[in-house]
Amino acid sequence: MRFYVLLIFGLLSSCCFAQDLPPIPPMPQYPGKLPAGVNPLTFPNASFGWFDRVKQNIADTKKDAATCELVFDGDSITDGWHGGGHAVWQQHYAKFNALDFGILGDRTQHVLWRLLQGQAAGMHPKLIALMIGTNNVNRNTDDEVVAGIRAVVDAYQKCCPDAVILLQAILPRGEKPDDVYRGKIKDVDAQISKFDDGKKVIFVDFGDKFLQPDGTISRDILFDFTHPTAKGYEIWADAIQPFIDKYVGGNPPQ
Amino acid sequence: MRRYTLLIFGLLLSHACAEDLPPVAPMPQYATLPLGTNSAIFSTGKFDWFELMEAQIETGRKAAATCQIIFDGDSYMAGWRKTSKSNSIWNQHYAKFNAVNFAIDGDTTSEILWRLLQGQGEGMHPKLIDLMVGSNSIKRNSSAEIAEGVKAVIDAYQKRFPDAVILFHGILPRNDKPDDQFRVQIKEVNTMLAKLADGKKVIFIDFGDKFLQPDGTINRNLMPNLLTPDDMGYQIWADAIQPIIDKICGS
Repeated sequence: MRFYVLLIFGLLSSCCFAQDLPPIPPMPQYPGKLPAGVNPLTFPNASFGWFDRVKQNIADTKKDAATCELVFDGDSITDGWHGGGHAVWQQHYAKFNALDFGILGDRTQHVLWRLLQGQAAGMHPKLIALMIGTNNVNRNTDDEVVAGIRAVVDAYQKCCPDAVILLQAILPRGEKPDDVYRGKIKDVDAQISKFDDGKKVIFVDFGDKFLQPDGTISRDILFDFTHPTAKGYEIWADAIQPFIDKYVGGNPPQ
Repeated sequence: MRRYTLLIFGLLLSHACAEDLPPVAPMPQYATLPLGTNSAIFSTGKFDWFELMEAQIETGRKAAATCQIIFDGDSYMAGWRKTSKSNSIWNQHYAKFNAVNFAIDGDTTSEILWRLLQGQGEGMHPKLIDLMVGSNSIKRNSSAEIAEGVKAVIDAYQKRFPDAVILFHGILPRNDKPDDQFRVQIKEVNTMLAKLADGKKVIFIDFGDKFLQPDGTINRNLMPNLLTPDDMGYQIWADAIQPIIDKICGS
């Protein structure tokens, strides 16, 4: 009897919950390339640059689905592999036809949406390196951020069930150890470390390698106390190389 | 006869052009979450820009009866609300005019034109529009395209507020060296922009030189990152436009 009451209660509450949530927003409609000869600066258009990036991720997914063995995803810090980390990326990951889906400014909810739009669909990467949440910590409670990261891990597992998820701790930011976000990030990192199941989700925290002995951050490594320099990307690459060797393989297909 | 040929040719051209243009993007649908929902787990595209725009349009609506100055542009203009100091200069000089700032980081003339189509400024009766835009198009578009874009924004604002005076700015210098590629194009665009002014309803002001040292390099006390003015830079800006504000809005 008690079981049925609980069941009915559960159904009712999940129903209410679903009703309360608005529908997931669709991809917006906007003009692509303007005809030649039209000055784009006189044509009224909104700021759709982020959606262009998502479309590029989906196009890359389709192009490289068969060959890509390694996926990175996240926010500006991961996006920076396209910028300051490019040389290190070329040296370490290009041979795996690796793709970097990270987009600057992204929060967990945006990664979830990109996956729903077809990013990574049909791919069979061996390893998915995730680092996400630093743009949530100033907007959400720690528990909310943790739930957001869990949702991203779940969504990637559903999308690529054979892949191992390398869940990377959020990097420390702010120059001083007592910076307002250091504590929040530490708390979130401690909680998401428990997602490590030793098999399909592996947690790694190399944040300490980005700190000076006194706990401060050097501009030499994170140039604005948040984003890695080329040297920072080298530190990152070194820190995850053992996992790349183990899960992606040291001898890529020729 | 020749006149008619030209006329027909002109009509055909403009018609063809209008046909070629894709429709202007409608306002995208995005979700407003109920209170208490964890936004971190609700899948959504990134609509931050649209949310900010709608909030600012709403601010404009609320101030419609009393607002005398509209500010618009890109991150330079949005910078008025970024630090406590720039904010306090703003409050000191412009709060009494119930000024509204519609600027958004990263915007070009194209985004301002779109925002105006979405109802930005509707119902307002400002005396002065202060505009600074164009910087985000440097090295991405030709100087002629940038100047045309600024002209389109001036035209759109004039159409909406035929009685207002438009004050628009030269693009501020960026990067250290005078012969830097950005600097060279900014100079070229500013020369073109100056010609859009009529000195009455459309006023051009360029105080970019105030951010430079005598040798043409950037004064790092005013622009430490060689791109955006710091608090002292905003004071220079305020001082430069004050005479025009006094004249148009009364002191």
